[in-house]
Amino acid sequence: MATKRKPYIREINSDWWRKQPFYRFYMMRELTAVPAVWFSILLIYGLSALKRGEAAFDCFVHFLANPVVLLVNIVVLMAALLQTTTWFTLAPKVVPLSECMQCRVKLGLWVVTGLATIILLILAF
Amino acid sequence: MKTIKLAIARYNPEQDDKPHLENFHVPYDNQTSLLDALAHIKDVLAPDLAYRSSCRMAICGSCGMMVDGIPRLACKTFLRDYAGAAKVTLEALGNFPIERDLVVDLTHFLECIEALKPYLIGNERKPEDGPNRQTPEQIAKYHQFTHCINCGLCYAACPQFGLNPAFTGPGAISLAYRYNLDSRDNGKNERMQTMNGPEGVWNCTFVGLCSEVCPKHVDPAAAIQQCKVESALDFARSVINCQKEKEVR
Repeated sequence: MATKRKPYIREINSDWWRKQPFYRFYMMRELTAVPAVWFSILLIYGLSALKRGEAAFDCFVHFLANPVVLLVNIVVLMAALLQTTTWFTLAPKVVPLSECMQCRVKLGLWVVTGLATIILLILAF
Repeated sequence: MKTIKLAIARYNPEQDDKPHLENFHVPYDNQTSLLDALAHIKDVLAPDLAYRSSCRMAICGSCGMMVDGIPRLACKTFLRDYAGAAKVTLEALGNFPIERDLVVDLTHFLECIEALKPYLIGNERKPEDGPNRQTPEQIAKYHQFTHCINCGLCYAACPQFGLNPAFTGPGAISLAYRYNLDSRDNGKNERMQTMNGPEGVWNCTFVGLCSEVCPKHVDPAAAIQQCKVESALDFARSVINCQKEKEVR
């Protein structure tokens, strides 16, 4: 007897991630890589300016003080903080740890980040 | 009794080209589960409605479906939580081919489980040797992964499985990892071949919804990330071994 089966396969459109808040947040998390690229290029440019001499570095500092660049860098900082938060939540899952240990590792990562930030700020100013 | 509108995606392979929504008004109280509502529809309103169920207590993993776009077990979902909603939309479990109404074809999932050999391998103990004891620490390593009931909700939540239906998927990988972590097992090398393969763990991009929707609080996303570490170590070992073999020659 011929089969009456006709399985229906649902199509996945390119906007699949827009259908659920969880997926939208995931895409935002992944998109934080884009501002990180901008900041990496900026840092490389700054290093190159430092190598070229005082005038070139002053020009770079002047560029950083531009309100548009400042605004972009604030967005980059926000994106980096979001990426850090999600990464610190996910990172303890990569090793087999109890739930209690996962919380401790997460706290430890934040403590190290906080200390490193304070030390860098003291060195900078 | 209050009533609620359920919009169910119906699909009859003998008549329809694609699923269509059909509305049903069902009575409910504080104890009515979605599975009870489906039984009411089948008994009273639409005897031809197809859905799977068995235990009614979140153990068999048969009644997985999309409830307002989120994978859930019908027996563990209560209509009281949707009180006030204009309607609740039910569809067959996402990312799987629909056979009829709320019934999907889970063949791929079952084949992946079989391929990953979820049983103890290479343990030479015999019954006369007595029980193969484990310490609480050894059990704690894999215990959460033993709770998996093979309901497939994690597959419905995984966009990577939706985009690539050949992906081994969260459920099967968690189950394989459960045996890799078991001190009584020696079959890790056999399982890693599939895990390291093109449809293995590296398809996962750590979306993480699989762990959120799991009705038994298993963390498949963590299992896959830990398998990625194993896979990377496996690769490093193979490179070193290959180098050593060349030196011997």
